[in-house]
Amino acid sequence: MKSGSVDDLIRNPVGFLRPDTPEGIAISSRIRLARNLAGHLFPCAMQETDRAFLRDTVEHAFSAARWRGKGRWVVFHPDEMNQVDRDVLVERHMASRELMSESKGAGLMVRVDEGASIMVNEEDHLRIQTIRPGFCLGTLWEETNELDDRLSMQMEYAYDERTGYVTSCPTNIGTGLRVSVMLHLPGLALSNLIASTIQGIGKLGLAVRGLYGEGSDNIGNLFQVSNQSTLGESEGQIVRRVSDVISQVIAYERNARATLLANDKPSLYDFVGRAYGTLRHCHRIGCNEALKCLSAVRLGVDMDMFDNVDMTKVNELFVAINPAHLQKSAHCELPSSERDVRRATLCRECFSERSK
Amino acid sequence: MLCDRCKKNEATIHIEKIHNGKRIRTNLCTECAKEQEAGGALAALGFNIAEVLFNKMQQAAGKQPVRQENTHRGPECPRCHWTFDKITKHNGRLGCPECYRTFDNVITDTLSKVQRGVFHAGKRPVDHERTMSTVAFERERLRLELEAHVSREEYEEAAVCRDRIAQLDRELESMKSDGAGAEE
Ligand SMILES: [Zn+2]
Ligand SMILES: [Zn+2]
Repeated sequence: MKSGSVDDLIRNPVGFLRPDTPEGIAISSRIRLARNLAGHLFPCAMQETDRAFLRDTVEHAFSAARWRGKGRWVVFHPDEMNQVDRDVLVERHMASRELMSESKGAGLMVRVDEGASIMVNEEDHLRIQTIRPGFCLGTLWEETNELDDRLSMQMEYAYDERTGYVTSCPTNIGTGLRVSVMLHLPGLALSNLIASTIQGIGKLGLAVRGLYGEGSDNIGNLFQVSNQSTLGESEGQIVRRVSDVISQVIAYERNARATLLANDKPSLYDFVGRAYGTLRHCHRIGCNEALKCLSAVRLGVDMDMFDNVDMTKVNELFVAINPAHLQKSAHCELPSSERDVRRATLCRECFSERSK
Repeated sequence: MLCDRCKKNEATIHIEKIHNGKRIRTNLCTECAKEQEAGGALAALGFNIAEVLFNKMQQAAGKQPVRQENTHRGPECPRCHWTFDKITKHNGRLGCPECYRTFDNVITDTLSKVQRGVFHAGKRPVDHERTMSTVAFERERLRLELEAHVSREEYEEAAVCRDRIAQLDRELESMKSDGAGAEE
Protein backbone atom coordinates (compact mmCIF):
# COMPACT_ATOMS: atom_id res chain seq x y z
CA MET A 1 0.00 0.00 0.00
CA LYS A 2 1.21 3.48 -0.81
CA SER A 3 2.70 5.59 1.94
CA GLY A 4 0.51 8.58 2.69
CA SER A 5 1.52 12.22 2.55
CA VAL A 6 -0.13 14.79 4.77
CA ASP A 7 0.67 17.42 2.12
CA ASP A 8 -1.54 15.54 -0.34
CA LEU A 9 -4.44 15.30 2.10
CA ILE A 10 -4.30 18.93 3.10
CA ARG A 11 -4.74 20.07 -0.51
CA ASN A 12 -8.35 18.79 -0.41
CA PRO A 13 -11.19 20.13 1.65
CA VAL A 14 -11.76 18.09 4.81
CA GLY A 15 -13.79 15.01 3.93
CA PHE A 16 -16.49 15.22 6.57
CA LEU A 17 -17.13 18.90 5.89
CA ARG A 18 -17.46 18.59 2.13
CA PRO A 19 -19.90 20.93 0.42
CA ASP A 20 -23.59 21.31 0.94
CA THR A 21 -24.24 19.36 4.06
CA PRO A 22 -28.00 19.14 3.65
CA GLU A 23 -28.58 19.38 7.38
CA GLY A 24 -27.14 22.45 9.08
CA ILE A 25 -27.67 21.18 12.60
CA ALA A 26 -26.06 17.75 12.21
CA ILE A 27 -22.55 18.46 10.98
CA SER A 28 -21.22 14.94 10.56
CA SER A 29 -21.95 11.30 11.35
CA ARG A 30 -19.26 8.91 12.53
CA ILE A 31 -19.06 5.18 13.17
CA ARG A 32 -16.27 3.30 14.88
CA LEU A 33 -15.73 -0.44 15.30
CA ALA A 34 -13.24 -1.85 17.82
CA ARG A 35 -11.63 -5.11 16.70
CA ASN A 36 -8.76 -7.24 17.97
CA LEU A 37 -6.83 -10.07 16.39
CA ALA A 38 -7.05 -13.51 17.95
CA GLY A 39 -3.96 -14.85 19.65
CA HIS A 40 -2.39 -11.55 20.67
CA LEU A 41 -2.25 -9.47 23.83
CA PHE A 42 -4.03 -6.11 23.60
CA PRO A 43 -1.84 -3.18 22.44
CA CYS A 44 -1.35 -1.73 25.95
CA ALA A 45 0.20 -5.03 27.10
CA MET A 46 2.30 -5.63 23.98
CA GLN A 47 6.01 -5.04 23.54
CA GLU A 48 6.97 -2.33 21.07
CA THR A 49 8.44 -4.82 18.61
CA ASP A 50 5.29 -6.95 18.75
CA ARG A 51 3.17 -3.91 18.05
CA ALA A 52 5.26 -3.03 15.00
CA PHE A 53 5.00 -6.65 13.89
CA LEU A 54 1.22 -6.70 14.25
CA ARG A 55 1.04 -3.47 12.29
CA ASP A 56 2.94 -5.14 9.43
CA THR A 57 0.61 -8.14 9.59
CA VAL A 58 -2.46 -5.92 9.36
CA GLU A 59 -1.06 -3.91 6.45
CA HIS A 60 -0.20 -7.12 4.66
CA ALA A 61 -3.70 -8.54 5.19
CA PHE A 62 -5.25 -5.23 4.24
CA SER A 63 -3.42 -5.12 0.90
CA ALA A 64 -4.53 -8.69 0.28
CA ALA A 65 -8.21 -7.77 0.69
CA ARG A 66 -9.85 -7.07 -2.63
CA TRP A 67 -11.42 -3.63 -2.38
CA ARG A 68 -13.02 -3.52 -5.81
CA GLY A 69 -12.80 0.16 -6.53
CA LYS A 70 -13.80 1.26 -3.05
CA GLY A 71 -11.31 4.10 -3.21
CA ARG A 72 -7.57 4.38 -2.81
CA TRP A 73 -5.96 3.94 0.60
CA VAL A 74 -2.68 5.22 1.97
CA VAL A 75 -0.75 4.26 5.07
CA PHE A 76 0.90 6.36 7.77
CA HIS A 77 3.36 5.39 10.49
CA PRO A 78 3.06 8.01 13.23
CA ASP A 79 6.46 7.06 14.66
CA GLU A 80 8.07 8.23 11.43
CA MET A 81 6.19 11.54 11.21
CA ASN A 82 6.83 14.99 12.65
CA GLN A 83 4.55 16.52 15.27
CA VAL A 84 2.78 18.98 12.96
CA ASP A 85 1.86 16.28 10.43
CA ARG A 86 0.55 14.06 13.21
CA ASP A 87 -1.58 16.90 14.58
CA VAL A 88 -2.99 17.60 11.13
CA LEU A 89 -4.42 14.06 11.04
CA VAL A 90 -6.00 14.57 14.47
CA GLU A 91 -7.48 17.94 13.47
CA ARG A 92 -8.98 16.29 10.39
CA HIS A 93 -10.53 13.59 12.62
CA MET A 94 -8.64 10.82 10.84
CA ALA A 95 -6.86 9.65 13.99
CA SER A 96 -7.13 10.10 17.73
CA ARG A 97 -4.63 12.12 19.71
CA GLU A 98 -3.81 8.98 21.60
CA LEU A 99 -2.75 7.09 18.47
CA MET A 100 -0.53 9.97 17.49
CA SER A 101 1.19 10.29 20.86
CA GLU A 102 1.58 6.62 21.86
CA SER A 103 3.03 6.17 18.45
CA LYS A 104 5.60 3.35 18.75
CA GLY A 105 4.33 0.61 16.48
CA ALA A 106 1.07 2.46 15.77
CA GLY A 107 -0.31 2.64 12.27
CA LEU A 108 -2.99 4.47 10.35
CA MET A 109 -4.64 3.70 7.04
CA VAL A 110 -6.67 6.44 5.40
CA ARG A 111 -8.94 6.28 2.40
CA VAL A 112 -7.91 9.29 0.35
CA ASP A 113 -11.40 10.77 0.28
CA GLU A 114 -11.02 10.82 4.11
CA GLY A 115 -14.36 9.07 4.55
CA ALA A 116 -12.75 6.08 6.24
CA SER A 117 -9.66 5.28 8.26
CA ILE A 118 -8.28 2.40 10.28
CA MET A 119 -6.18 2.99 13.37
CA VAL A 120 -3.81 0.16 14.25
CA ASN A 121 -2.62 -0.42 17.81
CA GLU A 122 -4.55 2.33 19.51
CA GLU A 123 -6.65 1.07 22.45
CA ASP A 124 -7.52 -1.99 20.34
CA HIS A 125 -5.61 -3.61 17.50
CA LEU A 126 -8.03 -2.13 14.98
CA ARG A 127 -10.33 0.84 15.12
CA ILE A 128 -12.29 0.98 11.89
CA GLN A 129 -13.84 4.41 11.43
CA THR A 130 -16.04 6.05 8.86
CA ILE A 131 -17.21 9.64 8.74
CA ARG A 132 -19.56 11.55 6.46
CA PRO A 133 -21.13 14.99 6.39
CA GLY A 134 -24.70 15.30 7.64
CA PHE A 135 -26.95 12.90 9.51
CA CYS A 136 -26.72 9.50 7.82
CA LEU A 137 -25.98 6.76 10.37
CA GLY A 138 -27.92 4.09 8.49
CA THR A 139 -26.00 4.24 5.21
CA LEU A 140 -22.75 4.83 7.08
CA TRP A 141 -23.31 1.64 9.06
CA GLU A 142 -23.80 -0.36 5.84
CA GLU A 143 -20.50 0.96 4.53
CA THR A 144 -18.67 0.24 7.79
CA ASN A 145 -20.17 -3.21 8.04
CA GLU A 146 -18.94 -4.12 4.58
CA LEU A 147 -15.43 -2.83 5.30
CA ASP A 148 -15.38 -4.89 8.50
CA ASP A 149 -16.58 -8.04 6.68
CA ARG A 150 -13.85 -7.74 4.09
CA LEU A 151 -11.20 -7.30 6.75
CA SER A 152 -12.50 -10.23 8.78
CA MET A 153 -11.98 -12.52 5.80
CA GLN A 154 -8.29 -11.66 5.85
CA MET A 155 -7.54 -11.89 9.56
CA GLU A 156 -8.95 -13.75 12.50
CA TYR A 157 -10.70 -11.49 14.99
CA ALA A 158 -10.86 -12.19 18.71
CA TYR A 159 -14.53 -13.15 19.02
CA ASP A 160 -16.51 -14.96 21.68
CA GLU A 161 -19.98 -16.40 21.04
CA ARG A 162 -21.31 -15.07 24.34
CA THR A 163 -19.69 -11.64 24.58
CA GLY A 164 -19.04 -10.91 20.90
CA TYR A 165 -15.99 -8.97 19.78
CA VAL A 166 -13.44 -8.93 22.57
CA THR A 167 -12.08 -5.47 23.32
CA SER A 168 -9.37 -4.08 25.58
CA CYS A 169 -11.87 -2.07 27.60
CA PRO A 170 -15.08 -3.81 28.77
CA THR A 171 -17.05 -0.68 27.90
CA ASN A 172 -16.69 -1.59 24.19
CA ILE A 173 -17.28 -5.33 24.32
CA GLY A 174 -19.99 -7.00 22.22
CA THR A 175 -20.47 -5.05 19.01
CA GLY A 176 -17.43 -2.81 19.59
CA LEU A 177 -19.65 -0.19 17.98
CA ARG A 178 -19.72 3.51 18.70
CA VAL A 179 -21.98 5.62 16.52
CA SER A 180 -21.97 9.36 16.93
CA VAL A 181 -23.30 12.51 15.36
CA MET A 182 -21.75 15.94 15.77
CA LEU A 183 -24.46 18.49 16.42
CA HIS A 184 -24.36 22.27 16.28
CA LEU A 185 -26.73 23.48 19.00
CA PRO A 186 -26.40 27.24 19.45
CA GLY A 187 -30.16 27.74 19.57
CA LEU A 188 -30.56 25.54 22.62
CA ALA A 189 -27.50 27.13 24.21
CA LEU A 190 -28.82 30.68 23.69
CA SER A 191 -32.19 29.63 25.13
CA ASN A 192 -30.51 28.15 28.21
CA LEU A 193 -31.94 24.77 27.35
CA ILE A 194 -28.67 23.00 26.70
CA ALA A 195 -28.10 21.60 30.21
CA SER A 196 -31.54 20.03 30.39
CA THR A 197 -31.16 18.69 26.85
CA ILE A 198 -27.86 17.03 27.73
CA GLN A 199 -29.45 15.60 30.83
CA GLY A 200 -32.34 14.27 28.79
CA ILE A 201 -30.00 12.65 26.28
CA GLY A 202 -28.15 11.06 29.20
CA LYS A 203 -31.37 9.65 30.59
CA LEU A 204 -31.89 7.90 27.27
CA GLY A 205 -28.56 6.15 27.77
CA LEU A 206 -26.48 8.18 25.34
CA ALA A 207 -23.29 10.12 25.99
CA VAL A 208 -22.65 13.75 25.09
CA ARG A 209 -19.13 15.00 24.50
CA GLY A 210 -17.32 18.02 23.06
CA LEU A 211 -15.75 18.53 19.65
CA TYR A 212 -12.68 16.37 20.11
CA GLY A 213 -14.27 13.54 22.08
CA GLU A 214 -13.81 12.41 25.62
CA GLY A 215 -12.97 15.11 28.12
CA SER A 216 -13.09 17.99 25.66
CA ASP A 217 -15.23 21.08 26.15
CA ASN A 218 -18.17 21.94 24.00
CA ILE A 219 -16.49 24.91 22.42
CA GLY A 220 -18.68 26.61 19.87
CA ASN A 221 -21.77 24.68 20.97
CA LEU A 222 -20.62 21.60 19.12
CA PHE A 223 -21.71 18.36 20.74
CA GLN A 224 -21.06 14.74 19.91
CA VAL A 225 -23.88 12.42 20.84
CA SER A 226 -23.08 8.69 20.92
CA ASN A 227 -24.21 5.36 22.33
CA GLN A 228 -22.72 4.13 25.62
CA SER A 229 -23.82 0.52 25.62
CA THR A 230 -22.22 -1.87 23.15
CA LEU A 231 -23.49 -5.20 24.51
CA GLY A 232 -27.00 -6.68 24.43
CA GLU A 233 -28.31 -4.96 21.30
CA SER A 234 -27.56 -5.54 17.63
CA GLU A 235 -25.73 -2.92 15.58
CA GLY A 236 -28.99 -2.08 13.80
CA GLN A 237 -30.78 -1.51 17.11
CA ILE A 238 -28.00 0.77 18.34
CA VAL A 239 -28.03 2.78 15.11
CA ARG A 240 -31.83 3.16 15.30
CA ARG A 241 -31.85 4.12 18.96
CA VAL A 242 -29.20 6.82 18.47
CA SER A 243 -30.86 8.05 15.26
CA ASP A 244 -34.21 8.44 17.02
CA VAL A 245 -32.67 10.59 19.74
CA ILE A 246 -30.69 12.68 17.23
CA SER A 247 -33.83 13.42 15.20
CA GLN A 248 -35.50 14.60 18.39
CA VAL A 249 -32.58 16.84 19.36
CA ILE A 250 -32.52 18.34 15.86
CA ALA A 251 -36.23 19.14 16.21
CA TYR A 252 -35.60 20.78 19.62
CA GLU A 253 -32.81 22.89 18.17
CA ARG A 254 -34.97 23.97 15.25
CA ASN A 255 -37.75 24.84 17.62
CA ALA A 256 -35.40 26.85 19.87
CA ARG A 257 -34.16 28.83 16.87
CA ALA A 258 -37.68 29.60 15.71
CA THR A 259 -38.67 30.72 19.21
CA LEU A 260 -35.65 33.00 19.48
CA LEU A 261 -36.43 34.52 16.11
CA ALA A 262 -40.03 35.15 17.09
CA ASN A 263 -39.43 36.42 20.63
CA ASP A 264 -36.07 38.09 20.66
CA LYS A 265 -34.84 38.73 17.16
CA PRO A 266 -32.49 41.62 18.16
CA SER A 267 -30.58 39.43 20.63
CA LEU A 268 -30.19 36.67 18.08
CA TYR A 269 -28.98 39.06 15.35
CA ASP A 270 -26.69 40.79 17.83
CA PHE A 271 -25.11 37.49 18.81
CA VAL A 272 -24.43 36.54 15.22
CA GLY A 273 -23.48 40.02 14.05
CA ARG A 274 -20.89 40.62 16.77
CA ALA A 275 -19.23 37.30 16.00
CA TYR A 276 -19.15 38.19 12.32
CA GLY A 277 -17.66 41.58 13.17
CA THR A 278 -14.94 39.97 15.24
CA LEU A 279 -13.92 37.55 12.50
CA ARG A 280 -14.13 40.28 9.88
CA HIS A 281 -11.92 42.74 11.75
CA CYS A 282 -9.67 40.84 14.15
CA HIS A 283 -5.89 40.98 13.91
CA ARG A 284 -5.11 38.48 16.63
CA ILE A 285 -7.44 35.71 17.73
CA GLY A 286 -7.09 32.52 19.78
CA CYS A 287 -8.40 29.17 18.64
CA ASN A 288 -11.27 28.98 21.13
CA GLU A 289 -12.53 32.48 20.47
CA ALA A 290 -12.38 31.84 16.73
CA LEU A 291 -14.37 28.63 17.18
CA LYS A 292 -17.01 30.42 19.23
CA CYS A 293 -17.35 33.15 16.61
CA LEU A 294 -17.45 30.67 13.74
CA SER A 295 -20.17 28.78 15.56
CA ALA A 296 -22.27 31.93 15.83
CA VAL A 297 -21.71 32.87 12.19
CA ARG A 298 -22.59 29.33 11.16
CA LEU A 299 -25.91 29.78 12.95
CA GLY A 300 -26.46 32.99 11.00
CA VAL A 301 -25.68 31.30 7.69
CA ASP A 302 -27.99 28.43 8.53
CA MET A 303 -30.78 30.93 9.31
CA ASP A 304 -30.24 32.87 6.07
CA MET A 305 -29.05 36.03 7.80
CA PHE A 306 -26.24 36.54 5.27
CA ASP A 307 -26.28 36.68 1.53
CA ASN A 308 -22.51 36.84 1.18
CA VAL A 309 -21.24 34.03 3.39
CA ASP A 310 -20.88 30.51 2.13
CA MET A 311 -21.51 27.56 4.51
CA THR A 312 -18.73 25.46 2.98
CA LYS A 313 -16.23 28.20 3.73
CA VAL A 314 -17.37 28.49 7.33
CA ASN A 315 -17.18 24.73 7.74
CA GLU A 316 -13.68 24.60 6.36
CA LEU A 317 -12.50 27.36 8.67
CA PHE A 318 -13.51 25.16 11.64
CA VAL A 319 -10.56 22.96 10.69
CA ALA A 320 -8.22 25.47 9.03
CA ILE A 321 -7.91 27.67 12.16
CA ASN A 322 -6.44 24.82 14.22
CA PRO A 323 -2.76 25.05 15.18
CA ALA A 324 -1.34 22.29 12.98
CA HIS A 325 -3.27 23.39 9.90
CA LEU A 326 -2.07 26.97 10.35
CA GLN A 327 1.52 25.81 10.67
CA LYS A 328 1.17 23.52 7.69
CA SER A 329 -0.05 26.37 5.50
CA ALA A 330 2.81 28.57 6.76
CA HIS A 331 5.28 25.77 5.96
CA CYS A 332 6.95 26.18 9.34
CA GLU A 333 6.41 25.82 13.07
CA LEU A 334 4.90 28.91 14.66
CA PRO A 335 4.72 30.02 18.29
CA SER A 336 1.21 30.50 19.64
CA SER A 337 1.31 34.31 19.34
CA GLU A 338 2.26 34.03 15.66
CA ARG A 339 -0.54 31.56 15.11
CA ASP A 340 -3.06 33.99 16.59
CA VAL A 341 -2.01 36.61 14.03
CA ARG A 342 -2.17 34.16 11.12
CA ARG A 343 -5.52 32.83 12.27
CA ALA A 344 -6.91 36.37 12.34
CA THR A 345 -5.60 37.02 8.82
CA LEU A 346 -7.22 33.84 7.58
CA CYS A 347 -10.59 34.81 9.10
CA ARG A 348 -10.43 38.40 7.80
CA GLU A 349 -9.62 37.22 4.30
CA CYS A 350 -12.40 34.69 4.32
CA PHE A 351 -15.07 37.17 5.40
CA SER A 352 -13.93 40.17 3.43
CA GLU A 353 -14.01 38.48 0.04
CA ARG A 354 -17.75 38.95 -0.16
CA SER A 355 -18.10 36.03 -2.47
CA LYS A 356 -21.22 33.97 -2.56
CA MET B 1 -13.45 12.08 52.88
CA LEU B 2 -17.03 13.23 52.35
CA CYS B 3 -18.94 13.01 49.08
CA ASP B 4 -18.70 16.21 46.99
CA ARG B 5 -22.34 15.98 46.03
CA CYS B 6 -24.39 15.14 49.12
CA LYS B 7 -21.70 16.11 51.64
CA LYS B 8 -23.11 13.42 53.94
CA ASN B 9 -21.81 9.98 53.03
CA GLU B 10 -18.24 8.80 52.88
CA ALA B 11 -16.87 9.15 49.35
CA THR B 12 -15.95 5.80 47.87
CA ILE B 13 -15.60 6.65 44.21
CA HIS B 14 -12.88 8.98 43.08
CA ILE B 15 -12.88 10.14 39.52
CA GLU B 16 -9.91 11.82 38.01
CA LYS B 17 -10.23 13.85 34.88
CA ILE B 18 -7.28 15.41 33.15
CA HIS B 19 -8.20 18.66 31.53
CA ASN B 20 -5.67 20.92 29.82
CA GLY B 21 -2.96 19.16 31.76
CA LYS B 22 -4.69 19.85 35.09
CA ARG B 23 -6.06 17.08 37.25
CA ILE B 24 -9.60 17.55 38.46
CA ARG B 25 -10.78 15.10 41.08
CA THR B 26 -14.38 14.41 42.00
CA ASN B 27 -15.22 12.34 45.06
CA LEU B 28 -18.63 10.70 45.26
CA CYS B 29 -20.41 8.23 47.49
CA THR B 30 -21.77 5.08 45.87
CA GLU B 31 -25.34 6.39 45.97
CA CYS B 32 -24.55 9.69 44.29
CA ALA B 33 -22.33 8.04 41.70
CA LYS B 34 -25.11 5.64 40.84
CA GLU B 35 -27.60 8.47 40.52
CA GLN B 36 -25.27 10.55 38.38
CA GLU B 37 -24.46 7.64 36.14
CA ALA B 38 -28.12 6.75 35.73
CA GLY B 39 -28.60 10.21 34.27
CA GLY B 40 -25.48 9.81 32.16
CA ALA B 41 -24.25 12.94 33.87
CA LEU B 42 -20.76 11.64 34.46
CA ALA B 43 -20.32 10.87 30.81
CA ALA B 44 -21.83 14.21 29.89
CA LEU B 45 -19.12 15.82 31.96
CA GLY B 46 -16.56 13.89 29.99
CA PHE B 47 -15.73 11.41 32.71
CA ASN B 48 -14.49 8.06 31.66
CA ILE B 49 -16.91 5.40 32.82
CA ALA B 50 -14.13 2.90 32.66
CA GLU B 51 -12.41 4.71 35.48
CA VAL B 52 -15.49 4.64 37.60
CA LEU B 53 -15.74 0.93 36.91
CA PHE B 54 -12.26 0.13 37.89
CA ASN B 55 -12.32 2.20 41.01
CA LYS B 56 -15.16 -0.11 41.93
CA MET B 57 -13.06 -3.10 40.97
CA GLN B 58 -10.34 -1.98 43.30
CA GLN B 59 -12.81 -1.78 46.13
CA ALA B 60 -13.90 -5.30 45.33
CA ALA B 61 -10.28 -6.35 45.58
CA GLY B 62 -10.26 -4.92 49.08
CA LYS B 63 -8.23 -1.85 48.32
CA GLN B 64 -8.51 1.85 48.80
CA PRO B 65 -10.24 3.11 45.67
CA VAL B 66 -7.75 5.94 45.27
CA ARG B 67 -4.81 5.32 42.96
CA GLN B 68 -1.94 4.16 45.07
CA GLU B 69 1.16 2.23 44.23
CA ASN B 70 0.63 -0.59 46.69
CA THR B 71 1.64 -4.18 46.79
CA HIS B 72 -0.91 -5.79 44.54
CA ARG B 73 -3.63 -8.02 45.79
CA GLY B 74 -6.27 -9.92 43.93
CA PRO B 75 -5.81 -12.20 40.95
CA GLU B 76 -3.16 -11.95 38.24
CA CYS B 77 -3.86 -12.90 34.62
CA PRO B 78 -1.86 -16.02 33.77
CA ARG B 79 -1.39 -14.91 30.18
CA CYS B 80 -0.48 -11.23 30.30
CA HIS B 81 0.23 -10.90 34.06
CA TRP B 82 -2.16 -7.98 34.38
CA THR B 83 -3.38 -7.11 37.91
CA PHE B 84 -6.01 -4.69 39.25
CA ASP B 85 -3.20 -2.17 39.68
CA LYS B 86 -2.24 -2.38 36.04
CA ILE B 87 -5.86 -2.16 34.90
CA THR B 88 -6.30 1.01 36.93
CA LYS B 89 -3.05 2.46 35.68
CA HIS B 90 -4.22 1.88 32.12
CA ASN B 91 -7.61 3.58 32.63
CA GLY B 92 -9.62 0.39 32.82
CA ARG B 93 -8.00 -1.46 29.94
CA LEU B 94 -7.34 -5.17 30.14
CA GLY B 95 -4.15 -6.80 28.90
CA CYS B 96 -5.57 -9.71 26.90
CA PRO B 97 -8.80 -11.62 26.20
CA GLU B 98 -7.93 -14.05 29.00
CA CYS B 99 -8.25 -11.15 31.50
CA TYR B 100 -12.03 -11.38 31.06
CA ARG B 101 -11.89 -14.79 32.71
CA THR B 102 -9.32 -13.79 35.32
CA PHE B 103 -11.28 -10.77 36.53
CA ASP B 104 -14.66 -12.28 35.67
CA ASN B 105 -16.49 -11.56 38.94
CA VAL B 106 -15.90 -7.86 38.98
CA ILE B 107 -16.22 -7.34 35.24
CA THR B 108 -19.61 -9.05 35.00
CA ASP B 109 -20.88 -7.13 37.99
CA THR B 110 -19.72 -3.76 36.73
CA LEU B 111 -20.59 -4.37 33.08
CA SER B 112 -24.24 -4.65 34.00
CA LYS B 113 -24.08 -1.01 35.08
CA VAL B 114 -22.94 0.28 31.67
CA GLN B 115 -24.20 -2.30 29.21
CA ARG B 116 -27.84 -2.89 28.33
CA GLY B 117 -27.44 -6.65 28.15
CA VAL B 118 -25.07 -9.44 29.03
CA PHE B 119 -25.07 -11.34 25.73
CA HIS B 120 -23.81 -10.29 22.34
CA ALA B 121 -26.72 -9.70 19.98
CA GLY B 122 -24.86 -8.32 16.97
CA LYS B 123 -22.97 -9.57 13.94
CA ARG B 124 -20.24 -12.20 13.86
CA PRO B 125 -17.09 -12.32 11.79
CA VAL B 126 -17.40 -13.64 8.26
CA ASP B 127 -15.90 -17.12 8.28
CA HIS B 128 -12.21 -16.72 8.28
CA GLU B 129 -11.26 -18.47 5.08
CA ARG B 130 -8.81 -21.18 5.99
CA THR B 131 -6.86 -21.99 2.86
CA MET B 132 -3.32 -23.22 2.38
CA SER B 133 -2.11 -19.71 1.81
CA THR B 134 -3.65 -18.30 4.99
CA VAL B 135 -2.26 -21.20 7.02
CA ALA B 136 1.14 -20.68 5.45
CA PHE B 137 0.85 -16.98 6.23
CA GLU B 138 0.04 -17.69 9.86
CA ARG B 139 2.96 -20.10 10.02
CA GLU B 140 5.32 -17.44 8.69
CA ARG B 141 3.98 -14.95 11.21
CA LEU B 142 4.60 -17.42 14.03
CA ARG B 143 8.08 -18.22 12.78
CA LEU B 144 9.02 -14.54 13.00
CA GLU B 145 7.37 -14.31 16.40
CA LEU B 146 9.35 -17.34 17.54
CA GLU B 147 12.61 -15.73 16.46
CA ALA B 148 11.71 -12.56 18.33
CA HIS B 149 10.97 -14.53 21.52
CA VAL B 150 14.23 -16.46 21.26
CA SER B 151 16.22 -13.27 20.79
CA ARG B 152 14.60 -11.88 23.95
CA GLU B 153 15.24 -15.17 25.76
CA GLU B 154 11.52 -15.68 26.36
CA TYR B 155 11.67 -19.46 26.14
CA GLU B 156 8.20 -20.21 27.48
CA GLU B 157 6.53 -18.05 24.81
CA ALA B 158 8.88 -19.48 22.20
CA ALA B 159 7.80 -23.00 23.12
CA VAL B 160 4.14 -22.05 22.61
CA CYS B 161 4.97 -20.73 19.12
CA ARG B 162 6.97 -23.84 18.29
CA ASP B 163 4.09 -26.14 19.27
CA ARG B 164 1.60 -24.08 17.27
CA ILE B 165 3.91 -24.18 14.22
CA ALA B 166 4.10 -27.96 14.48
CA GLN B 167 0.29 -28.06 14.60
CA LEU B 168 0.05 -25.86 11.51
CA ASP B 169 2.55 -28.07 9.68
CA ARG B 170 0.32 -31.06 10.34
CA GLU B 171 -2.66 -29.07 9.10
CA LEU B 172 -0.80 -28.11 5.93
CA GLU B 173 0.14 -31.74 5.35
CA SER B 174 -3.48 -32.88 5.62
CA MET B 175 -4.63 -30.03 3.36
CA LYS B 176 -2.15 -31.20 0.72
CA SER B 177 -3.41 -34.77 0.90
CA ASP B 178 -7.06 -33.61 0.89
CA GLY B 179 -6.43 -31.69 -2.27
CA ALA B 180 -6.03 -28.18 -0.83
CA GLY B 181 -8.29 -25.42 0.43
CA ALA B 182 -10.44 -27.57 2.71
CA GLU B 183 -12.18 -26.07 5.71
CA GLU B 184 -10.70 -26.48 9.17
ZN1 LIG C 1 -23.14 11.47 48.06
ZN1 LIG D 1 -4.68 -10.98 30.53
